[in-house]
Amino acid sequence: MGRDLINLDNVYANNLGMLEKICKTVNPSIEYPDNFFDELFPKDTKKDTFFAQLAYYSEIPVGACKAKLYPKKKGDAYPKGVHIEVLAVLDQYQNNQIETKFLTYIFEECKKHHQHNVYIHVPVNSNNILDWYKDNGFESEGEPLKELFNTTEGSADGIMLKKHVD
Amino acid sequence: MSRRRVGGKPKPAGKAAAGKDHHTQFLEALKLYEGKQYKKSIKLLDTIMKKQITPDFLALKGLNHYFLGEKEEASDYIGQATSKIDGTKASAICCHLLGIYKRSVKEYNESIKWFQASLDNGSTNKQIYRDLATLQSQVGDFKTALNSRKKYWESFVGYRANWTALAIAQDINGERQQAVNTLSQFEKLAQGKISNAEMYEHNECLIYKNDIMYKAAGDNPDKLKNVLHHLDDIEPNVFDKFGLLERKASIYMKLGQTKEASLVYRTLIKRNPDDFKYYKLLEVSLGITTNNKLRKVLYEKLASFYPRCEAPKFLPLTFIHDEEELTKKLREYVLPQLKRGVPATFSNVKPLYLKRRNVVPKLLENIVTQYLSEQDSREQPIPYIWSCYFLAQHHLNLRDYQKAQEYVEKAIEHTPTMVEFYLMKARILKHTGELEKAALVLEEGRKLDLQDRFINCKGVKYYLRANQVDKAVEVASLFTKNDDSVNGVKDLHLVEASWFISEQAEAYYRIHISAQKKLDELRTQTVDSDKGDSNAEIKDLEWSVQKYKGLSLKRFYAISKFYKQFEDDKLDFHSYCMRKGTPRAYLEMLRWGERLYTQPMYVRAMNGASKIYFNLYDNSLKRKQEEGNDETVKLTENDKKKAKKEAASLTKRKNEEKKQVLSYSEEEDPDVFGEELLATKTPLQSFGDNFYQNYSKQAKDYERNHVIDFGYQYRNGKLALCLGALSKFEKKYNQKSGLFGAMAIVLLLATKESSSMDMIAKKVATKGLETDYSFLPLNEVENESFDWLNYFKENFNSLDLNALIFLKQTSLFEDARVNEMILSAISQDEPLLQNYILQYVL
Repeated sequence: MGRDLINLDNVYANNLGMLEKICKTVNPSIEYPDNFFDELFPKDTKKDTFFAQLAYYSEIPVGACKAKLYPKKKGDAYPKGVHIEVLAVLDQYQNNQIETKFLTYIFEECKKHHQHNVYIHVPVNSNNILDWYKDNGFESEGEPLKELFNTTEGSADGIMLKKHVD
Repeated sequence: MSRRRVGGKPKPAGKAAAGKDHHTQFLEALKLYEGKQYKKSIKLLDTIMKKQITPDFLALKGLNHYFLGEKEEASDYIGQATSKIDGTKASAICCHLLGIYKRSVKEYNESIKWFQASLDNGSTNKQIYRDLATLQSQVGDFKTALNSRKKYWESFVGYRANWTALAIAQDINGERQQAVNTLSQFEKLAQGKISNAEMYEHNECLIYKNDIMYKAAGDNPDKLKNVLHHLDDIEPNVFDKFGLLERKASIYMKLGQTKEASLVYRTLIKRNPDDFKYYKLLEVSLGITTNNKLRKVLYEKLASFYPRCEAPKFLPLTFIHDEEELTKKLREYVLPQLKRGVPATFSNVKPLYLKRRNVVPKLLENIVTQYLSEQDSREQPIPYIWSCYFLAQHHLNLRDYQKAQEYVEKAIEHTPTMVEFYLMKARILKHTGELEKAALVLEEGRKLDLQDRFINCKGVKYYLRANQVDKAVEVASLFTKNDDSVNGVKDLHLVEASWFISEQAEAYYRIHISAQKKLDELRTQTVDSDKGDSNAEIKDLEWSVQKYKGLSLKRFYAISKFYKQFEDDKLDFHSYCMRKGTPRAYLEMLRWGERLYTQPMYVRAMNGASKIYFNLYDNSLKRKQEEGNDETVKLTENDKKKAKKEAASLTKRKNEEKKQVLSYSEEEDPDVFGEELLATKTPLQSFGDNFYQNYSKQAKDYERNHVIDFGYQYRNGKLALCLGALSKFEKKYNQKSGLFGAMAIVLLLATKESSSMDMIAKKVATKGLETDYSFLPLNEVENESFDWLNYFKENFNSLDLNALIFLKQTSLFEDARVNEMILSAISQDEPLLQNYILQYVL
């Protein structure tokens, strides 16, 4: 076949629904802001830069990621750099390969945009996730942030992780 | 196209009726017309006509108006012209002009009459023969068409088209030998002179000649051998190698040379190993259709020759009896597909669910359930989800909705991004009667992939099934061209999307019924209580009832118009195919045209429309009866004012709603809501003209809807034709079938003395029933206390739903009792049907 079993591809206005579906299925308790998905395809002139991809397993969309470029520092929680907002893979397809591909993609985008820092906010109590990012070279940065995440079960504290890319 | 539009060039023939000066001026006007300068032509004509008015001038003027798009003036002038003519005694030019006009307005028989008259009255314009032949072919008068083709061919022998046309006409008229001669003669003339560009035409004509020879040969061995030789001769020049080989094989079969035939079929399989037809024919030629052992060996061999092919793997599944072996073969067929994740796996084996319902489904259930249990959802996600999908379809097919739902849920839970799963989930919900939920599920799936046209269409369809017309139109409009309209309804009419229009028609019909029910309820309520409050609500509902009924009919009628359009479009091909040299395709098109009005979509629209038209007719009868006893209510001055006000607000409302339902531009068709269609004074005749006649002409006995025939003729008072429909129905089904009983009883009751039918018709029907169906209780006809429903129950299949609905619609019997019978008939059916009956039939 000559093709990988897993491939990444852009998100388009027409399959934005896939991204939304995956995000909401993987993290059913998180309440996404109203324009969280639509802002990828704004009606007015584009201001922000996003990096969004869908992952396909044998042509089935199974994973989604969305990251935002902060060209300037915006408050303590959002230093200059690329912030991963979502990195989600359907439960049955979680096998590290897809997640790693997403990270690789984001690191490459960083280089293209001359950025050196990648950030992500993770709930303090999610040890699995924390460990996984640490295995991939992320380190915690600063103090835990109070009530960072709004979920259906109330709010949760988060911690910011950072990775430096050359 | 454009050349024909301008029309042939009527040449002056002899002296026209007008005076000499006028005549030259008239010829000038004619030239202007030919040069498409219609306005100038009219101007010139006006000056001549100040002094004198002749049919010639009027006809030309009418034609000019026609091509300027002023249809009404045109028809007016043409009418004036023809009224001045005694029979067809007019100048050749005048006749020719009238012929062109009549053809343009699609009155083909009239057009033929005038073209013929032009020739009879001395026209020397040979082009008329071509136009005549075209028109005669269009109306199916091939006998006279042959003559016209011949005449035209005599005048212009230099064109191959004319030879081909002549041969086709001869062929159609059964003059096969002459047709072959005509084609051969031209071949000789053209030998060595055929350019590369003409080779395709040449090849079609060659194989067409072989077609005719084959048809003429019948079963005569010598002639067949001759055909075979001819086939060999033309082989290098024929492009359609499949057609050639198929012909060869069938000749061998007819000659009894099965060995040779089988070799040809093997060649065909080699060329296209995916065509199931060739495998079947190979079996026949080998004479092993009943020998399963040999068939199995054959397919095993073929499967090894064509390892990537479906057919040799699938076909053994249709006949292997031994369950153990069948299981093995099914596994080998189905599991690799599931492993690869072929979405159509179930569709591939679905024919077996029909043909071998007792054997295959249970085996496959075991095979796939077991296979699924062996798949790890993480390690082998693809086989896992598609096996779930397969099992959902399997259980849906067996009507185990709960299990089907379980499996599809499993699949969605595993991979919620697969659009197919939502389609399946919605389909299962549909069968359980949950139409709104089904539409919502499809919408959820649709949002995953907005550019998927298929799911878009499905979404539209499910919304329509749930009677959510506005939502459906909104979704459909995402894929249509909506230039100057608020939605895609107009575009969907333009592109003749009959799937949408029929679904919409049926949705409108259902909404109409619901509104009618509500209205009836409200009216009975208000009879008791005081009027004031609910008056507005009643008015509102009245409009809804009328609007949806009209729109439904309007949509059904739109479909009828598409098919009429197909027929009109045929016209161009009677000359086009000759020029292009595609006689085989032409004949195929003619055959298709003869079956046009029996296409499922047309029949569906007709059936839908029949409900409305029959209802209109039955209501008009009721109204006539009531008129006798009803006093006309006199309106007070106050009431009049009120009525005026209401009418004004209704008009306002209509104008607002118009945009949403517009199917054609308003200039083109002002009857937006189908009100004019509903207002017909003669609903039966309208039904005949708009739907039934065309169908009736083309439908063959084996496919006819005899119930529609009966219903139509019964209302027309043609009891003899009812009897005909009844006996045809009885021959196709039997004397115990519910519908036979229902129709027989209704016909019998129509012969009652008190029935309003014509005396002679009654006598004919009675006589017929006496001779053919003496077992019916003919003596009870006048017995008022005879229990017909009970008789029906005891003697016919009283669970036949269609029969019961038929009885209900005649309103001859006690409604509550019929309803009860209907309810018990549907008690075992799926929820979808039950709901439909409850909501829209009872």
